[in-house]
Amino acid sequence: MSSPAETPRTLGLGALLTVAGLTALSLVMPSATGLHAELSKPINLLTQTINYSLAIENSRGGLAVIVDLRPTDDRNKNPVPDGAVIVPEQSDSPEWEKLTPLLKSLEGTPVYIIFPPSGDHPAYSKLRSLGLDLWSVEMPR
Amino acid sequence: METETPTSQSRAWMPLVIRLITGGLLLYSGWLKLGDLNNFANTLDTMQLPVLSTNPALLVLFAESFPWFELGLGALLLSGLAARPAALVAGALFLTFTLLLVTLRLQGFKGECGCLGPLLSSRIGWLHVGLDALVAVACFRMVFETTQKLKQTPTLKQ
Repeated sequence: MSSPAETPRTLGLGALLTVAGLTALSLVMPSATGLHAELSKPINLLTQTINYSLAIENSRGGLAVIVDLRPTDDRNKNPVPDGAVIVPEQSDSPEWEKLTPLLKSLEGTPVYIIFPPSGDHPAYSKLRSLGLDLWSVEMPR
Repeated sequence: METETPTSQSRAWMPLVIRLITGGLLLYSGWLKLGDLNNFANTLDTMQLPVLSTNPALLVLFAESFPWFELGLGALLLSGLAARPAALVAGALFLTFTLLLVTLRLQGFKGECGCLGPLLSSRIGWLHVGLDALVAVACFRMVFETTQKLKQTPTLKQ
């Protein structure tokens, strides 16, 4: 009689039990140990901030690029003088195919981000993934 | 009855080496992630992974649980308990890593890998992909070879 461990079926079952056991362990341990993760809030993540006027000045001088993540209404009410880069809200938008090489070419150039007044912009994570020198613009109140 | 060739005898230590290396790698990787869970969560966030990227709560749960999964799997491999199922799971895990890194690399992702902390803190490159693929292949090979070996051993009669 052959050992049960020899059949692929029992090996597969063993693997499933292993996954189940490890999943249970991994779900219990964070509470048991008190080791928890926390996501940085996107707006607070950027430690580099810049004044709005200086951001406009640097953008005009060709020293930096401004990316405006505000909603369309806010952008229309208070547009960035001389314009800013507008990115699609959806991270899987086909427009990103054209925008990504352009944004990647900004490596080494400061990129100033105007955040929405509240909430998050889905494209922000996408921007962070490009490894750019990101700055948060402090808007005048 | 089949006899063991010198080649198969000389390779008898391979499963043990694969187990020790993979187990050690998983333990080290899990331990590093536990040391800075927030960094791991943020690294996952920048990767914009399907499902997780649109669900922060799930992403955080995954980030704080996954290192324990790695530690447990590493411990199983090192101890030899359920070694073959554990190696199969490890192979599937490293294969998933490989596919994920290839996808991110092709998408032009420039963030950090986040897999082995300071040891591989550079941005995702083909080296990471190659290492993960190598470990996956080694694990599957170990499972396959030990299965073959078990089939070749004389059967027990009750």
